[in-house]
Amino acid sequence: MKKLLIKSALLVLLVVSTLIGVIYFMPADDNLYLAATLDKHRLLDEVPQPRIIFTGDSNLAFGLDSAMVQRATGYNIINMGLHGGLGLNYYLDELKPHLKKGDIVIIILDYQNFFFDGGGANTLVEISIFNPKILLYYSPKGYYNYLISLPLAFQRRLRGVVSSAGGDMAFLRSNFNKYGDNVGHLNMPQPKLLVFKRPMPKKVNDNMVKIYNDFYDTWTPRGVRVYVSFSPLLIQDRKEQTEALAELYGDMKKRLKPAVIGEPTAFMYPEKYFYDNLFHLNAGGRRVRTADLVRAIKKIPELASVPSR
Amino acid sequence: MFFISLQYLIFFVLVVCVFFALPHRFRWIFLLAASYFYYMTWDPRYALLLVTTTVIVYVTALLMQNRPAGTRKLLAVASLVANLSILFIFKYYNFFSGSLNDLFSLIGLNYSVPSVSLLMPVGISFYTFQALGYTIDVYRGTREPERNFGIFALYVSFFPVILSGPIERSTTLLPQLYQKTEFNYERVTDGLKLMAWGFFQKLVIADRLLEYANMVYANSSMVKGMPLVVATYFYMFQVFCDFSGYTDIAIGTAQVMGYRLLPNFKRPFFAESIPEIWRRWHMSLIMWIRDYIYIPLGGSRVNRPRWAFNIILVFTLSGLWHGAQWTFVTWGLINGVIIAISRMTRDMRNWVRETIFGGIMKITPAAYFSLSAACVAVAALGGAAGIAGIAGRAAAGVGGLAFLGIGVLRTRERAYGTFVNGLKKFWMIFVMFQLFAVSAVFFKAKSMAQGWYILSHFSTSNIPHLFLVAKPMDFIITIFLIVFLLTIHYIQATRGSIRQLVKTKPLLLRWAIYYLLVMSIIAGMRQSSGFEYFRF
Repeated sequence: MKKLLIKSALLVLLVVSTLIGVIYFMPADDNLYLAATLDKHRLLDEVPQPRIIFTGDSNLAFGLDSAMVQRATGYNIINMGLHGGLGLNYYLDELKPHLKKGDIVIIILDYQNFFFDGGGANTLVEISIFNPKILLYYSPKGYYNYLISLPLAFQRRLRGVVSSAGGDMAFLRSNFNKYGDNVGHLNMPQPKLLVFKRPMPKKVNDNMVKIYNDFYDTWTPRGVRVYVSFSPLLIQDRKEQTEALAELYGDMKKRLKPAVIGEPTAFMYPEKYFYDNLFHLNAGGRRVRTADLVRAIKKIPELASVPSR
Repeated sequence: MFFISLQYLIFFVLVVCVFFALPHRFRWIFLLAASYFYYMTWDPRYALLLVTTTVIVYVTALLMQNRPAGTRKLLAVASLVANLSILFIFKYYNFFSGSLNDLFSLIGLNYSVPSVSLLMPVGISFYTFQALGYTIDVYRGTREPERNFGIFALYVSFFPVILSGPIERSTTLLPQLYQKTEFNYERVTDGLKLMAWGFFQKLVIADRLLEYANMVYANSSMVKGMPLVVATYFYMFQVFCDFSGYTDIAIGTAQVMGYRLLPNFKRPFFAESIPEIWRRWHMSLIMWIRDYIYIPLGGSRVNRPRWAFNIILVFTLSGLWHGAQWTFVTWGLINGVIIAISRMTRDMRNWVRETIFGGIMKITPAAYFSLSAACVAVAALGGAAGIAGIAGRAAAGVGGLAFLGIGVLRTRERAYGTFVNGLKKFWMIFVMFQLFAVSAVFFKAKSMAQGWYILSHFSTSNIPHLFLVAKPMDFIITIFLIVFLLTIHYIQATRGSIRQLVKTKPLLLRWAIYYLLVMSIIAGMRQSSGFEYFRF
């Protein structure tokens, strides 16, 4: 038994060293899109209160004009939106060490997320290449998904996927502005939009509900206010989509503890507002979506403007 | 909890550690609890059916002891009917009601058989057959009924085999559950290596092949020709690697704890006929069907038409066992028909084959050299003479070289004999493979219509569309993996167990092989969607 344990441990050590070596020590360009996480975390440390922290996937990175929200509400804005492969669990985990009493967190996820359990995938590993400290804050589910995503991250590193920036100029760390918005795509020519008929969730995945509510239960007593709102949706079959959204909205109102800002149908847009895929808005779309979001936020009295001290 | 999940690895390590830490008398209790826990991770409700089957089979077997033949028969039938009814209701009822409804509407009857909404428990076909085998063994007097309910429950639910086999026999697995096993380094590491090979087959080969096959079959109406053929070939290797991978993990898991399970595969792609492939593919099911259905029907001791009927019947049933769909039934039926025809035409086919290959044996070196010269002439002058284009001339050049080589070989009698024998073997394997591919279309197809469509669109070439659903590099990697698999099989067939071979190598080389195996699993694994045979 002892012999087996020693030999197994040696083999595991060899394998883990190779994985860690390839994933973390192969060169990776500092200007890669995911490296923007470092700047976003700096914003969390440095941006003073009163502040609203938007968190979610790339619908926020590409489709939110934080300056407009700041002008309209008076709150300082931090846009944490980055990548859909990270999952709700991560979006909330990464806020943990930075949240302060009085912070407002607005979670906006693309509808696709509601089908899944919020666990994230290989991006959980890849983002830790740039910000290894984040590993300290993963929840158990985050660690589990991190572990099972190691092989894919390893394969992607071997193929050079997370090595050099510059493939697509819209996806660079240097494109993010002082709020955390990606503005690199705003002046770029409109690429061909990749469209597929997307299925619409009619309810939120049960595990996601738990993550939302656990976060709410943990942070609301500490003076953090938590809200959810909606991502932009490409109009495809309006009737079918509206019906699904009505059910989803009902489910969110019923089961989620964070208050819901706006209604999902208010964020449905035609193709001309989308950039490269169904999740990313172009300059025009970003403007319209932010205006719609501001309108919805203004309807929530405590968010409409900074309360006077 | 899939075998290929991190949860299973953790579960496996914990179970093995506790198993060896416990005194022998408590091990079966622990394994029973672990097996039920494992099974219930799929859905705790499944356990109710498992307990029901276990109790029915256990009690009826006990009641059979020392009873008159008539009573024994009655009890055996009761056990069979009860268990098959459970299987029927959960797996086949909707298939039959749907088929009846189709029939009624076809003949204009306005009657609808209701369907039921039931969750099909995973592994139900496997553990039901394992339990039924025990009932029949006790009825036949092949074995005494098991008195210890816990041990018997463990036999039915043993976690390495409950979901997808191998379908164990009461005469082989049950006695082992009483035997005390010690920790044995050689045996344990052998089991672990087998598991690693299973993971490789499943995660690296099967899942990669499935991507192509799924993509083509999901869009089959939009493609024709080679993509359909290649997708079907890939699917055959996929199903093999998927199921053989699962089986190796199961056998390896059991071996680590000191239990020997039945083998399920023996290099099926080297079979030279359809009857032979069925002695090499899903062997535990085929042996079960042979012992409990085919032989009682008369086996090969009946007249030829009856034998053919029996063979077609058992293979059709085997198709039905796989799934409640007409596609599976057709798949079984095709295999049964091919086996029946192959047996009936065996002498004639042997004669034709011997005549052709005997003729090839007699071709003189001069004939080969003449053929070579003719080909070279076409290659050199074909363009000017307007006989052949560039491709034709290139092919003629290659042909010329090949004939020259064979001509030289022909001058050495023994080497030429080996070559012709190899050619004959290759031809037989090739024919077997094509026939098996025809049936595999229905194994993969979602409907009969899709199966017919694919078969009827096999014949066009349409090579450019091969890369519509896969990048050329992915395609090349896939082909390489198939060749690698066949090479491993070839080494196993000619030089014996690879694990034993590796053991004879120097330490550094051994470690390099183990390290490469693990790293290639990590570097080559695909997003897995579970095992094919779990749905059966």
